Amino acid sequence: MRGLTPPVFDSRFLTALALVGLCQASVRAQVDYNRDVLPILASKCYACHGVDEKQRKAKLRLDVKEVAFAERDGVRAIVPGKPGESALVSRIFSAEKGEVMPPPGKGRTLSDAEKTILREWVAEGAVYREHWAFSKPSRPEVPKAVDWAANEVDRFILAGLEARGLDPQSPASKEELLRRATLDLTGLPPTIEELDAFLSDKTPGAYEREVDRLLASPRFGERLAAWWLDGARYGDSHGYDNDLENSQWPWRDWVIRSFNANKPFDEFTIEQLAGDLLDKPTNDQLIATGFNRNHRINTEGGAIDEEWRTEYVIDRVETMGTVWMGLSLGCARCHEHKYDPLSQEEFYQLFAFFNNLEEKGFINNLRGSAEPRVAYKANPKVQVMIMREKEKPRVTRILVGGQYDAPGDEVQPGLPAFLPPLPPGEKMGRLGLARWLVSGEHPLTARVLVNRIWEQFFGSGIVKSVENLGVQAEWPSHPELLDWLAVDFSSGGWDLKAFIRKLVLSSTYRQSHVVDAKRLRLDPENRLLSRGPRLRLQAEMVRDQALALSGLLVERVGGPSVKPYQPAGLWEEVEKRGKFKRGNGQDLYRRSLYTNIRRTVAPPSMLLFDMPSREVCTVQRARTNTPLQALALMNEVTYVEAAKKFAERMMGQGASVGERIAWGFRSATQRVPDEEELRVLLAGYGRRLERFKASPQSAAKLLGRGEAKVSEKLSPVELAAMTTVAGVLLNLDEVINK
Amino acid sequence: MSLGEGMRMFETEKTKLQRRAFLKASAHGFGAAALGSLLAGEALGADSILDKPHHQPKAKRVIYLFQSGGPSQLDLFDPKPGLEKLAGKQLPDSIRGSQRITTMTSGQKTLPVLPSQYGFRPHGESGLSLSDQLPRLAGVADELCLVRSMHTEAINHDPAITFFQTGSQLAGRPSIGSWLAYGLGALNRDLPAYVVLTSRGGASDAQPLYSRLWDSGFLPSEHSGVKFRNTGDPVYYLSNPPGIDGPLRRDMLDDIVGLNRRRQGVVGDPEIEARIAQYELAFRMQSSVPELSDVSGEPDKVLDLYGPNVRKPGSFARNCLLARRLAERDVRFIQLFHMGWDHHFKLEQDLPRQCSDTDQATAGLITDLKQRGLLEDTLIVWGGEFGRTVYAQAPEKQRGRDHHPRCFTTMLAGAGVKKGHVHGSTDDFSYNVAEDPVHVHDLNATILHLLGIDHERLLFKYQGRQYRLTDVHGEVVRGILS
Repeated sequence: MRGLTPPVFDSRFLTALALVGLCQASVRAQVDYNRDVLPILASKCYACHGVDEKQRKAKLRLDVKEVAFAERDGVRAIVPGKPGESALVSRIFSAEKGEVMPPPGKGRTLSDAEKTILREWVAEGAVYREHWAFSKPSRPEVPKAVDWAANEVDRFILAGLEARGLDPQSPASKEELLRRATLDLTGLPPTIEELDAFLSDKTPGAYEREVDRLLASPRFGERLAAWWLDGARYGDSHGYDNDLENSQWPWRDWVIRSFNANKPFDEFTIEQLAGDLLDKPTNDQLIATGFNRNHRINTEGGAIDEEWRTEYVIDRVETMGTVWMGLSLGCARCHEHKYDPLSQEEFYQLFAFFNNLEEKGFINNLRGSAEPRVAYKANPKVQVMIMREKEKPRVTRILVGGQYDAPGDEVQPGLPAFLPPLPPGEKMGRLGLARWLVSGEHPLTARVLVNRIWEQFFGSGIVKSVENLGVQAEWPSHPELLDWLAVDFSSGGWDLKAFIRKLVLSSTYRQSHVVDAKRLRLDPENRLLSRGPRLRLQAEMVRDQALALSGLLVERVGGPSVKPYQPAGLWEEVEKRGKFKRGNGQDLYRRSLYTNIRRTVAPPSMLLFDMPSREVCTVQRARTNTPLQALALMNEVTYVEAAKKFAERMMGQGASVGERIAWGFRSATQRVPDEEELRVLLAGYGRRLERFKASPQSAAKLLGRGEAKVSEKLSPVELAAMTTVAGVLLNLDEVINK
Repeated sequence: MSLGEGMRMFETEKTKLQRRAFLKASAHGFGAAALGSLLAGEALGADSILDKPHHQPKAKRVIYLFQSGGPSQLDLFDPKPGLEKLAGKQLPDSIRGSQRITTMTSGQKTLPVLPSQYGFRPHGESGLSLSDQLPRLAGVADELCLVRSMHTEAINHDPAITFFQTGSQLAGRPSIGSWLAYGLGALNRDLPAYVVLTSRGGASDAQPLYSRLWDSGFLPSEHSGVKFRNTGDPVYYLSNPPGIDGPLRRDMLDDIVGLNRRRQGVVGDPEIEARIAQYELAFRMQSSVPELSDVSGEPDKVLDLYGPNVRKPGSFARNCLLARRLAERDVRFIQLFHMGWDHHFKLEQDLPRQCSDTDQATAGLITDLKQRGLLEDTLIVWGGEFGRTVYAQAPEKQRGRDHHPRCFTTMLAGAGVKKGHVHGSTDDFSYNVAEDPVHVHDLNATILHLLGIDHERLLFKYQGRQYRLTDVHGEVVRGILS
């Protein structure tokens, strides 16, 4: 399992590593406040000595220099340069139970390394610096140019590798590279024809041309939309009790169109957050604001209207915080934020931007869309939920303890003090807020976005917690690279395709994914990128690839969501879900992006591969590896049917069984199988052919799986045996990885 | 710290992390007991995140019998004989206070007191008082521990049940079973650590359930509850497709494993080894799960303990029997959800039906576990997401009771809890807690405590902060510990 496991390399470890590195080099370097000290203070001390006044003990706060340095009752927590006189140091090193800090038994005990860092930091003058992600990134100097480097990305990466005594891995084969790029950019594997064309193109720039072809494909928008939909918590139902279907799919189609048209990310942002407030908004710009209406809506009898309306507004603030700012703003709903410098009042100032809709919190038995809404121009029968301001603004009050029925002081829309002010000339409204995010002055927006896209291609963010760049975030693996990319992106017109092109054209991305003992030891999670990324396919890609290999895939961009196979009785076994009416024909074979997501009973085969249920905003998918995935790939009708049709295609290739199997192997992996691989597959085919010959009815049963028919011209026992070979191929680790 | 010390500390830390990473790579998912002893004592699975329990556990596993919809404490567990003479009278404002009530009754002109229609009598040596609707549980009264002073924060089903399961009313947090699977790991290498079974009662209406209730939230998703289904495959996609039998599946699997292993030799990615292990586990589950679900070998005298419904797959009684079989196989957290306790209307028709679904089955489970010596290290929890109001909803028609979060009863039995014991009390109307309030966070903290976990120390960092099941609240309820 990778992904969300408790970090094997947590900040303590990296710090220890950094210290050891420093000691080894015999260089006496300063402790870095942001890298080394702040993570300790934030995770171990701020809960009682941070921004939250109610939880604060001994009136001491360690997040504000002046307070930490001040004398109280003859004691000073920190005396810069004098650890011997600093109560902080003596308390953390104390052996006495009543004396030692943090108090034992709260899970906040300091390790020896952490204590040492804090002491060193005080000894070096206790220098406080602003959290790195809260100051505007400046374009850092790019490390020296080297032959290996295709672009700036590589120069930063190489510097990191060299610092740890590693060198880049050799380049990936053309087969490996085309598989990776095609899946990353389109969500589908390359065909054999595409592969052969690439292999035979020996002229310079062949790979660049492939990348440009893939970026221009309409599949690109579908691939990137699947990513954006997680953060936008897009689903095809309202969630909660009855969980009836909504009709938000035109919003999803707008996302696909926008990515395909390479709509600059600043426009993409403004239209989603405030398209309704633009001058004479188009139907598309109104539909875009559906982003803020994708949250769940409660239709449970007895629900209290204002309670739920409040939840929707909070959801909008939290979602904006996670998606654009990488902050968990929701923490300040009930109290001052414990780690980031956000007050409860500031939270409700943000709340005020989204509090101004003519909307209901509770709608009984809601089908389709709730007000405010607009007809979809391309299909006027479909109403899409959008943002629309009330004429008379609603008064926003701080909610005491975050409770809808405990209003406190009135607040006006406003921005957190620790972030830049509104750009000149903007009004303090939702449109101003959107423009503020993408003004280029905001320290977080571009960093968050490039970090999240980086994760899609390299498996882990430069900051691992892609959902959080706040004070508690882990130190970036390549801080200068992150800033360079952020500045390059925001100052270069927020051009998503150009940014992605830079990533996939880098030599870093083009390395082979082969790993040796040294790389595994020094770079176990590939955070340093000492090799090419090797990642399990995302849920949508797993299924789409199987459909593509089988020839069943129906490619049509957009439209209402479809209901492919799912286990019988899934909706029926929970109450109030009605009957699941499975789709037929083409509906079974559309790309997974279009599979209907009923949020309380989302499709299990997608959930098993870590697609979120879309009930709330999620920007980091786990990448698990479980036995239930194995069962799905071996037994789910989708994959059995795909194996059958894939086998049928294999049967149409070559003159011998060996050639057919080799063609199938190459389709699935892009590689030509080696002798041993071919021998194993051929022998398996032979053994199972004998079984089916002895039991032709088993062959008939297997070939009867799924709606798609197979050619009657083929021998059923041979096709069944080949289906088992195709099944083996679809289950190979290599095939479910990219 | 000298350089030498620093290096040693660093090495120790690194070695530990590498060992953990290795064990995870080779055994995560449902874990592998064979490797357990390498990492910790007997109490922990190989995939446990803890090195050792925080303290000596009393319980090894939990069977949580969740009663979805909110059973009426007034009609089952909390006798209020004084209410008879107030029948039909308005609930005094002094009792109701300024508490919110749902929009289903807030528009009602009156809030008339509805005394329970059922008698209560003391049972067993302990004299524990139970409703006549629970005759079988009365027979095991001396095993039970009633917490009559439970209270919660939510008033609607979805947030209330989510709160019970995850410690938050909002979606997205891990469920209690996932926390335990994450913290303690699996003890059985052929089954998941957290198994969920659902059933629907005989009542006329029922609240739905959502997979989020047993989801792992932001914890690694292999810690999600695995729901065993009542129809079709007990686990999704467990059965081979028609035309593929066991030997043929094994034959294909051998090819998959062989080719994967060969590829690993070239690529070197340890994740491939992990995938091979998961395919082998999947294959073992294809026999262990059907074997678990097959109750044909259970003798009549055992089946009879659970009542006649045990012979119906998908019934609460059958699920109780499966719970015992899962407990025998050391599944860590076994959770049953029984729907149908939301008695706004037709209380006098539906409540007896729900009782007949659950009374004998629950008592049978307790008896069966006790006879096998499993009750000593199994904790049983029985209860819903809130209680019900003393006043009648729809008093003129098919009367029932509305949601009531301010007080209700949860029942416990087994490992580490007092027997024949009542904890806490409510006022004369069962409207407010009178003594020893127990919040949902307190109950959850206590369940964790019984399993050897300090609820303040089982943490997971997500979105930059440390999360735990009990948020920043929760006190272990010492008064119920044996």
